[in-house]
Amino acid sequence: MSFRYDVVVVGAGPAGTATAYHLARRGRDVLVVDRDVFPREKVCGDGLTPRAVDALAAMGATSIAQAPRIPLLRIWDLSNGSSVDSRFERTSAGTESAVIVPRVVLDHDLCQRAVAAGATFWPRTVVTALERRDGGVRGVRVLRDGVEMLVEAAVTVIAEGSAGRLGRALRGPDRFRADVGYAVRQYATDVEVDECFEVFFPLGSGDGRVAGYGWVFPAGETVNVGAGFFYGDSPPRKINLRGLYRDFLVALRRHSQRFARLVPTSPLIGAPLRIGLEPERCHGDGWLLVGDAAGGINPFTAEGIAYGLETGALAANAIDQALATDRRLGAYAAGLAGAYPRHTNLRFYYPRLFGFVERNYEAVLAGRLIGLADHHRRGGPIRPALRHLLSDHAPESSGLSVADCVAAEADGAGGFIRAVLDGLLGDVRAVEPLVSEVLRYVRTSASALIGLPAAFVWSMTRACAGRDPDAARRLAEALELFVAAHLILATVGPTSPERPRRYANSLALLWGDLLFGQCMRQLFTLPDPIVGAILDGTTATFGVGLARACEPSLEDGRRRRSEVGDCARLCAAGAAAAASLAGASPEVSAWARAWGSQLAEAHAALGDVIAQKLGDRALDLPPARSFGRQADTIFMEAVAHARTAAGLLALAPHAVSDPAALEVVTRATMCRATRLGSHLGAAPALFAAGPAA
Amino acid sequence: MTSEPSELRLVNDVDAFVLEQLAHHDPQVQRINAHLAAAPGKHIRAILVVLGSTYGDGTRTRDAVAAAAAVELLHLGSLVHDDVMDDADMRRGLPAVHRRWSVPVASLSGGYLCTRASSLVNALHDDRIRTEFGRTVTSVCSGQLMEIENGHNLELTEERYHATIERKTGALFAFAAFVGGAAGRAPEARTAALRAYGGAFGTLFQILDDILDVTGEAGPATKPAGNDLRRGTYTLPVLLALRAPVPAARELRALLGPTHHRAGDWLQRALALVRAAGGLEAALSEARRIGERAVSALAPLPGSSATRALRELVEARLAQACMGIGQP
Repeated sequence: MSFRYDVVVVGAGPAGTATAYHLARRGRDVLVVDRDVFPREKVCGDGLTPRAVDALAAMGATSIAQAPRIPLLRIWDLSNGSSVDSRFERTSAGTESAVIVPRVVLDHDLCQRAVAAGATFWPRTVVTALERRDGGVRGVRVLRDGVEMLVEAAVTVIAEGSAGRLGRALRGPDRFRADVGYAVRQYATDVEVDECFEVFFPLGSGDGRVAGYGWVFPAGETVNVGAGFFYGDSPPRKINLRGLYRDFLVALRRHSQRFARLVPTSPLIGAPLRIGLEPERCHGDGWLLVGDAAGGINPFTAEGIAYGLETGALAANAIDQALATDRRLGAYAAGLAGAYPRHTNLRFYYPRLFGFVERNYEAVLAGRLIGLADHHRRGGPIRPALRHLLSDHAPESSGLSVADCVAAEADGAGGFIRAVLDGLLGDVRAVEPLVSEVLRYVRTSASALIGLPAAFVWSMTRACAGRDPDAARRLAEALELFVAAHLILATVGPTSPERPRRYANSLALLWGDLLFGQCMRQLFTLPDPIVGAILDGTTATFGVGLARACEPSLEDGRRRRSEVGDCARLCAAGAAAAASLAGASPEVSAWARAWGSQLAEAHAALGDVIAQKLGDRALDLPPARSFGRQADTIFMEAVAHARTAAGLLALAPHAVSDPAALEVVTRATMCRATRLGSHLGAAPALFAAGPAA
Repeated sequence: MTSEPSELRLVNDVDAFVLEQLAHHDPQVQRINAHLAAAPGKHIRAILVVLGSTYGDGTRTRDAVAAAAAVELLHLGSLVHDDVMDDADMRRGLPAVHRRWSVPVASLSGGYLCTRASSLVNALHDDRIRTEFGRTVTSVCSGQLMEIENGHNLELTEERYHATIERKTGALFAFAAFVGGAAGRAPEARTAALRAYGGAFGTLFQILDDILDVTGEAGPATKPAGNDLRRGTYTLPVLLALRAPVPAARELRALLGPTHHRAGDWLQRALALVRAAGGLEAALSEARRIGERAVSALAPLPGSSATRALRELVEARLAQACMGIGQP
């Protein structure tokens, strides 16, 4: 017997059903096969992160609707009984809470959603072989109710989880032992739980300690208790997971009265974990891997449902496109690389990060690291950056950053800024990979001046016909490094006995110093008069900040502006230095400083308005942070500065050969003000008259 | 020391130079800077710079003082940040900046000091020095990061420990000796020798510091005994004690590490175990080997009073550690 479908999906877990659902919605003819009859159980923590919740809502899943919202992740240190609470990373849709839905319910629900959308579902169907023809996969051979059948399909989607043999046959064997782990779980009762995900470190003791964690998640009447680990970069050894789990239960019972009477109500079941998502190995002629089969698991937390749902949606997009055109599935790899740009790097940091948190038990392990700046009253980039790092997702741009607005005015300028920031990340990565990941996140900041120095260098080099693009790039990189170093050093927060913040501050100081060192390294490749001018700017930046920090009473009262603005002088010095570097006269250089200073002040003020009215995710600043003045006053100042800069442009010395590049950056400032105005719903009438000449 | 090289008097000018560099128009900033300059340290790095400067043409004393001030400023900046990380109350007999003012002030003050140091280095107008300085700052930071990343790591290898202290401490000493020579216009062969000596001496300096941290005889001006151990920084005496094939090593291993509950006099016990397992003697003989390396690095230099002084620095430091351990 043989059948024909556009797409056959092997496995009816979240990844498979998501793929089928999104394809069926687009009118594609989809068959999902699974060896089980649904509903069925699955080894999982049953926890759905905010990202998974969003993806499920997009599929209209009903099972999440009634499930209780879990706002907190509580991380326990079993070695000393301390804990720390952490929130989940908020999604772009604004979801902040996780939910718990047992997989037996969730997978059944998703299966029904796919069928309701028009997909065909064959339970109790075992795939016996891939149908390979002409060098590609053209469907599968299955055994359904004991009858052999051939299912032909233009695309075969493998969603059989991490242990499946079809996926392995297609992608080849695992390359790194560090990419493999295992997890076990069971249900239990007679436990008092709070409405939070509880996670426990360390797992194992002494030399038997492993890079993993135990968990207790509330699941209605019962709890889901489990443990999992990755081999990481630990020396090769046999790990007895059941023994590890038994020890975990003993430790749990001893840890708290809440768990003393814990009674298991289901058998302990286990499954392998595979990280190591490699986009190029996830597709081929007529086939795709999604979810766990693709290695789509968070390398730190081992969360997999969000990845399953997201990779399913990405696969459906790519397949739909391919069916309409040339049947090539390369768009899928591009989609994966875009969605998880750091996955490959992350899995190498993972053991390192884990080793770090595991050893520093004062840091309450992962929790303190993730939540380490939770107590940062003044905000700071480290907590969100680390949490983001652990979330293994591409950062989002607000569209309000300096770089975004300059890029909108001129592709060339945008390209230069990007190249400078990418180059800087690469240089920092070579010294300290974690810092480069933090910076990757920080650079999406809406309020910081990141990108402005590079914009100044780009425009001045062009305007003055500079002939050394490499020196210009090094200057821009040094300036950007300083802005980043200062940003991190300026967010080191005050301490108190209740909030010692030792790790938050230590890391911020070390990372800030490291970036400063990198800055000096780049800077000192330039001629000394240029460097001298820049160092005067950096001295002034620290001086202004110090004077303000000495008067904490100014913090929320008479304070004139945020730390971000301190770098305005440096940026202006950078504009002047770029002109000198391009061979301009002292007169031109002085004019460049005046022009740059007006624009930098404008951007600093816009940054303050953004921080005050919208907040800044990348710096962990909530909105409504006061700088002692009304946002509209600051906004008007920004506009005034930008207009002055535009006026200065008309007075540019004749030696400036190409003022067009300077106009680009000047316009970009107005563009940023306009964008911000529309974000805030302010009357664009402010700009209707345009810049006064 | 028998006869001090006359150039050493230049070290006395360094403090005044530093103070001059830290003058600031804002009274608040000026107060912080004055506080920092009020308690100069032992100038060991400045001494290296000044001794290094004797190997040139002898015409650049002002540059040597400026270079020494730059090194001291960079060191001071790193101390201000270190004290935040160590949660130290005092520095050089005065309240630490983060105690006297606040942590945010200490953060920016450290940055300010490093910036001033950079300006001084830039003003020496020497590309060799400028390049070397950029590398040095990065080295010091990455060494400190390595240290914090390896906190509570019982599996820390000796190689990794050496790599850490070569960056954390050795790099600035190497720069100090080098910049003295370079600022004094010494030829390449001599600055290279000075750099090698400085790196080895800095490493030795750190190991001996680590030994004195265990014996608690680092003097009242510094930290209490076992400060590193308490913070989970396992230094050479501890690592060597952990490797020793004796029962004390096993007991020490059980006492340290992340799963241990800290209680009672665990720190005193751990320090005693480091001694019992022979960690101090083993670290001292390692220090002696590095001391020999430092002295042999001096071979290309002429047999001047400065060279003798550099050799004596090594011997004096080793003698101090021997006394700490109670060895002849």
